[in-house]
Amino acid sequence: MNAAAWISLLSAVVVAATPLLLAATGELVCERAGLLNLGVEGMMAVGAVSGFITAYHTGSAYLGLLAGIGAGAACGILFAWLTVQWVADQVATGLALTIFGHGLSGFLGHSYAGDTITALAPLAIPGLASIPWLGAIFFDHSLPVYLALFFVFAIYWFLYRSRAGLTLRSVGEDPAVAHSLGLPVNPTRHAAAAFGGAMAGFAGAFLSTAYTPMWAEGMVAGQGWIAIGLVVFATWRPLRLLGGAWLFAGVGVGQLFSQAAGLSINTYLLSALPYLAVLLALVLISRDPLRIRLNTPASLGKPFRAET
Amino acid sequence: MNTRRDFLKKAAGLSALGALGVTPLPSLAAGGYYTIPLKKPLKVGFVYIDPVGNIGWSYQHELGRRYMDKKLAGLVESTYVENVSDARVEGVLRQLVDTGHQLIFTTSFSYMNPTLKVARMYPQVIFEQATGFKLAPNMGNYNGRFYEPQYLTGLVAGAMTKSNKIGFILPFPIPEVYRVVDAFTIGLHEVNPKASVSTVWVNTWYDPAKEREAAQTLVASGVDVIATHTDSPAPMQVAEAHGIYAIAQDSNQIKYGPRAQLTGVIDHWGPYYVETARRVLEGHWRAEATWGGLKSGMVELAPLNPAIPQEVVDLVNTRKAQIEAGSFEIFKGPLYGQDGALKVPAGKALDDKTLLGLQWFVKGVQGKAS
Amino acid sequence: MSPVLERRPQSSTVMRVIAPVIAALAATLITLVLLALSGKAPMEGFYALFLAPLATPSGWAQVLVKSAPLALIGAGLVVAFRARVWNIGAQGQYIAGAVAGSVLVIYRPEITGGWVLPVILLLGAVGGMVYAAVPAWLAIRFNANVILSTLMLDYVALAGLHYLTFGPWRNPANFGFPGSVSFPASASLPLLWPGTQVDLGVLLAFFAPLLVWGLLRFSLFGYQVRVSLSEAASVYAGFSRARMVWQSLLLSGGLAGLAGILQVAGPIGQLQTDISSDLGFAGIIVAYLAQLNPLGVMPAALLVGLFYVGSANAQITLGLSAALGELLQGILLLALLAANVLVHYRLRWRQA
Repeated sequence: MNAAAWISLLSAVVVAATPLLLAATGELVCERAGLLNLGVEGMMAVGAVSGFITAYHTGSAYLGLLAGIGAGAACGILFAWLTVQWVADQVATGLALTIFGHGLSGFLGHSYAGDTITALAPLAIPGLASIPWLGAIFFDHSLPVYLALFFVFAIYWFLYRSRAGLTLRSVGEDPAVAHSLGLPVNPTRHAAAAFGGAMAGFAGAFLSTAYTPMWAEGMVAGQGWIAIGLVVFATWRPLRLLGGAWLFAGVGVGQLFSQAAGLSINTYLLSALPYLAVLLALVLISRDPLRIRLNTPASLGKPFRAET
Repeated sequence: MNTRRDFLKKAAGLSALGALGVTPLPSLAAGGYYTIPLKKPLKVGFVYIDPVGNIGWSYQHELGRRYMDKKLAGLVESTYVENVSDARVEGVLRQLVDTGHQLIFTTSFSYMNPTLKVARMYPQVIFEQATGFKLAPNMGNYNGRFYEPQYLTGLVAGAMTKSNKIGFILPFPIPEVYRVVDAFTIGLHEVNPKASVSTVWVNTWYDPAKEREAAQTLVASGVDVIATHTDSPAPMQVAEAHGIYAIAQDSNQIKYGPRAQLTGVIDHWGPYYVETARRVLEGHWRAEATWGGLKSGMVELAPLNPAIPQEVVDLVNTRKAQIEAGSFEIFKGPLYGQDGALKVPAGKALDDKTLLGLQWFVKGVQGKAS
Repeated sequence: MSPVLERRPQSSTVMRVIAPVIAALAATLITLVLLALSGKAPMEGFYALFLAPLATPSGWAQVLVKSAPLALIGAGLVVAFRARVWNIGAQGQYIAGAVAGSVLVIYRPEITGGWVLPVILLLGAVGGMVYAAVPAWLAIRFNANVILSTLMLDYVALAGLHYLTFGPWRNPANFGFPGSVSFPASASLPLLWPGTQVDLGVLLAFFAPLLVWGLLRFSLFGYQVRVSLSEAASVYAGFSRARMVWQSLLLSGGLAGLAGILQVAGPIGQLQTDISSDLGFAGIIVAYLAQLNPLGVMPAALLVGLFYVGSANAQITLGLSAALGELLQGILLLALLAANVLVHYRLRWRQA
């Protein structure tokens, strides 16, 4: 295998990891605020369809991205309204959102399947893109690929270095205590859920306007679930999302490449490999309960309503 | 080649114009026809495995349905049910029967057993199942010889590849997939014996992201022409983006790869639907297995990319005419298996029955057979 | 005047029953608006979706057949969710049950006898349990999150089913087409209603919610499940969380596995690539629509079954989009979750 092939493969992995990273970063923030939103898959579908329809009618893939972000945020706000304001069960609400989003996207996108748009163009970063190896792998992609990386670091800074991030983590640890300290529990959770939804919508719109510029029902194909898995994999630490997303995308691309390279391995086993990898990682990470407990937001998934 | 089952030849004296619905059918000799008490207009139901959309396998059937509606306006009234999974199809068929449909087309190979089961239960309804092989007195089947145009695309790919490496993205190991990959490779080697085919099984019929990743890994491994038997245009988009070529599947994908699309395999079901409905209406239907090739027009070659040299275009046209005339066999010996063992000796050719259950790749195809 | 929510001292049992009705009305209203927006006559669409299937005996039969596996899966999930064990891997357990139950037919297709069918069903249930035991073991031994492990195992089960049906378990007489041999009569569920798909499996499935109700009501296990809603209470009572995880996963997995084999030995008639494992996900909706009450599972399953049959009917008769059925499920569930606020809170009008 020559250098060009490696570069081409690694660059494919970086792009394939992008929707996972975007959605997982959003979900991580949401979970850090104590909200477990299992609706990522549905929010991504809504983001994908709104992104595509907008790009189709306006001719601008960037407007499509914005529409996807907005639609995803709307789903996130719906989730927050139900779970924070009306203390609905978070697991049930997330699953309902997945089903709703999948159905809504199919309904809205029905007449758009098979249409084409002008896809988001790659933006090579001047200077960086010409670095040997790294340039082609990291710096010759469309805007969302860079933004996904940016958000990982930005959220790291936000959670651990900013005052608002401290508030968010306190809310996720113990909303009752946070409330009694006068911290804005409900507004924080609303904002976190909206951010989570916006990022999932962004991820979906990336799929439909840049990665595979088309609309097809079911095109999210389980990536939202993987994003949720990555948050646990990363033990709720943003920088570890990078490793998880690259590992998962790498195993997925790698199994296809091993076939293209003529290796004779059972293809069904290969298809299951990315999921087995997540499972294995989950076991390895979780076996040390202390490590999990240190990072898991203590109130995750538990209902709390700040009475005013 | 055995073209006995090409549908235009099913009944003697049937003209191509008749199949297109321009002239009325000549009356046929009595015998063997399955007639049902007809209500007019004839209600025709179609069952699709995917959402219809505007591209792909089910869309091509939908185009056929619309064509039939237009040609037989006033005589038939048709409807479709989309996105029907294999496990749900039996219930949907019963609902179609309950709502008065008397001719039902089921358009996935995986619908074969449920269609047979329902056909046995409702003898007053006629069923036609696409790409399966089972028959009943009131159930026929029909299929396209997709491998015929795929052989021609192989000729084109052989001429256009510079790296001598072709990629083929595959869904699941069924005989249809072996037929198209083998026919493609036979065409490829006829023009370019040094070229080889790398296969990637994605184990899905439709997943744009996964198909895209498969196409990208093929590009990384040095492929410069991509063919697929999956359904999404994602590989075409990858080819367009990387400045290489690809071959369309089911529908013309030229809008996804205006420069990249070399040619492709297009399904064209309309005339068959018109013909079948007309036969049912006239009491001239009987259960038959129809395998329509280039000659019947059930499968077509997509327009050729202008970049293809004239001598290759000529070769494609010659072979196409020979296949249509029945004077050229694609699966003609000597044919060797992947391991180099002689599978079909010189002077012999695979017959339809063997092709129906084909399970091996010819020499020059890399990757595991299933 | 502005409305405010005020916490009820005790959650309202009456509201628990009324909330689904409110949700159904709200969902119906939204459906009518959606129909009008997509240019269809709302009442016609409403009739095609919800009433037409119930206007004929064969429509009823279809609804029953569609609801049966949902009732089985939903009944099991009610227990798991009540015990706060988030088993969202019913799809995988359903597949495992279908596969395990098929073993006998695949390797001994010629066997006959009255014992065959019960053994096959038992194998199916055990298959689902074994597959659910994996996440239980991972959760107890390695502390692995159940939501994620059950979810990942869904994909693994699907790949396994593909391997078997396209590979070693393929019917050798079928020209390389995927799918096993057809189940022989001795291994198939007898039809109860000739001319329809209603078989013994439908009857069995509708007993499951009742059995689960009895289990929760009268057994020690049921008591433990009921108190495990409150972590503190179950710790106080000295109940083992590990045992609770094991038992609720085995029960819900076993019922999902049974649903799988009942489909394969019943309406489908062979192990094939697609055995509607998405029912596993719909079973989650059923459990919640039932308000996590076993007695609510039956009506909830029938309602979701009606959605399946109705959305196909609306497509046939009105050309409505296939996605509408799924959208309706989502809307109904969201409406229910919203309406449930009234179980714990009451609406008060307050001077601004």
